[in-house]
Amino acid sequence: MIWQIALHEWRRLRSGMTFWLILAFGQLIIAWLGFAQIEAFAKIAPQLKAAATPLGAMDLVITPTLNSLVLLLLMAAPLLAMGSLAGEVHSGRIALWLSAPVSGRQIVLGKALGLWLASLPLLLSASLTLAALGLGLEIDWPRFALALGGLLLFSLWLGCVTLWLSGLFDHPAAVLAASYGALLFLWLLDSFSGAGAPWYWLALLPHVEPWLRGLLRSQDVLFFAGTGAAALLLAAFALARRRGEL
Amino acid sequence: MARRLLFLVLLLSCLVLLARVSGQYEWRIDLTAERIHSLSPSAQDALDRLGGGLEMTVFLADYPVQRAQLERLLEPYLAHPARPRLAFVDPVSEPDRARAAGVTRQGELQLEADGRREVVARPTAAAIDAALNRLALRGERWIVGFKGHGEAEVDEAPGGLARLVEQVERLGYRFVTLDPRHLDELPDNAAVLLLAGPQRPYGPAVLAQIERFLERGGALLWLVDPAASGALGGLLGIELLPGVVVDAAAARRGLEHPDNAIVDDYPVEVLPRPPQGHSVLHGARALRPSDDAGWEVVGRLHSSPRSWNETGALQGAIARDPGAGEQAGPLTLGVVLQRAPAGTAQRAVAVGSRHFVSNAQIGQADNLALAVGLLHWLTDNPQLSTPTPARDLELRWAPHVAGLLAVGLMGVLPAVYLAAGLWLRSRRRRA
Repeated sequence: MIWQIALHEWRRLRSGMTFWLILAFGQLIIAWLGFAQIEAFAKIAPQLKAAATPLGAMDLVITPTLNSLVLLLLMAAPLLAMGSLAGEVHSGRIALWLSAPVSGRQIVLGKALGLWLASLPLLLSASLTLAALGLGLEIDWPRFALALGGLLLFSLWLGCVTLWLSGLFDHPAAVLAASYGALLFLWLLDSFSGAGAPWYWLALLPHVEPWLRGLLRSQDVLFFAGTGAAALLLAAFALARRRGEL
Repeated sequence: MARRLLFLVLLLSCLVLLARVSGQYEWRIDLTAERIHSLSPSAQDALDRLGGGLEMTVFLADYPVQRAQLERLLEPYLAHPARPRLAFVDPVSEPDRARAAGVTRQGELQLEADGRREVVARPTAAAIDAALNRLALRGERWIVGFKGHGEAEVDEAPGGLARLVEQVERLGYRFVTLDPRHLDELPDNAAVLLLAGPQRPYGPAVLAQIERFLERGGALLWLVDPAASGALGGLLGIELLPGVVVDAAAARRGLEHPDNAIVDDYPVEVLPRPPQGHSVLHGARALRPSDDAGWEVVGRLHSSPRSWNETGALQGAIARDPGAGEQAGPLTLGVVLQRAPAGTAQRAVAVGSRHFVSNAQIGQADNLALAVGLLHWLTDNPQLSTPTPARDLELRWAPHVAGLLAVGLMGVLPAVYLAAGLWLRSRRRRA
């Protein structure tokens, strides 16, 4: 049933123009940024070699473009998720969902999975674009694979968090505003305070950056798994409240 | 209401616990090809060289988070078998100690070994590695370059040596240029004498200076230029073959001009950590060391088997002409010599090109690593790593491939996605 809900969510998103516009413009932006980085890199590569710098194409072309992809996913996830639960409430279809013989947990898991499926085309298209740059550059494939794996987990996490926010409001526009506010706040949190602040663990950038630099850390995996699971629990909790179970 | 509150409190507690435990007990895997998050080979070499006497002192007030971050940064160094010792000093509670150490900023790291000290103002892995290498450099560090006879100068011109000097000074060497006509003797603390392609021959007095420098254990690096090769060649027992070395292997490396000789095999006795790629010696002359000059040939740098010494013009189609004295490769492009008359070890290196260390070419292939490796051998520091740039600095684009990819990825693919969306929308409307 979870998988059927996921496929239903994926088809709903895929049938709308928002999905295709995000995909088209996201692909254009990533490809353009990648080639712009290569152009700048080509100009300075001889000086980098003369300076025996440890920075190469991975650090100066691929990683900055992946950073931009992270921001794109951050922008795209709320657009895709705003109609997930809030859209159902706004259109009145939520009554159908709540009266269906499906538990709140199954609905939440299915919709989160569906949102993740909807973000996969952008992620994969951008990754293939960067991998194609390997025709002219030496790519560190294990590091690239780790970055891709990290982005897959990050996009799943985005689906969970935006789904939870979608469950808190009755109007998609409110979900969009809340999602952008919350995600941008978490993205910038590390620059607001030092590493000693108790809320520093919630900052997104210190958890994403190591993956892009080729370092797999247990605390980053646990952060996304733990907070993503917490978001799903809260989303299921919100659904249960709508059903009157709590 | 109570159930909701309990649920939220428990969830929050789990998150806080997860944050504390994950921060305290962490495992990490470095998946980069160059192992950039692990101890670098140059740091390992330097720590091997320093042995067990390294002291690391961080001057930082009692800020637990910053101290923990520095401990994490220094963890790979402390885990090395040399077991360096780490100490934190609070400049606020021990101001006298900080003042005596010359501390200028919070978080400064000082490394001490064998009575020498290196300061790392802003500790990063790269800065610590460089400081360890400077600390591990043994013996005298001064490199003296001659001037006044048309040698390459330490300037930013394409043929200058500014970039080489900048790199070697970063490794702990010091460079100075002197006019031998104004000297009686070379300085006592000079480790290496660099003759960067003199265009005019040295007089007898200068040659005598060079010979006396070698006799007292100084090392010589001679970048050959044929204009002044006679007497110097006689000193080292080296003869130049006629013509310029041309190498068909250069074309495979993407080099258009044939007068670029490729060296991709290095003598391990001289370079125990050889460059991983090839070096390019532009406009090189082939060398022939003599067996009876009193020097022992320790190692050679060779061109490829597809090279020869071209005596004609380098235009149009060229081919080897044995009748003109053109010999087939591999040809000797560099000679590493040593001798020990009267018990004093003397070392010399002659390289058939003065261009490979110039500003225009030091960044080409592994030229810098070769130059630094030779300097390390001359100063008896062969175990120190040579600076190796990142392996992914080469761009292999053919223009038409780059153009096709750009059009496809920036134009065609987004258009396809848009078209798919419009088609699905129109299909839905018709239905």
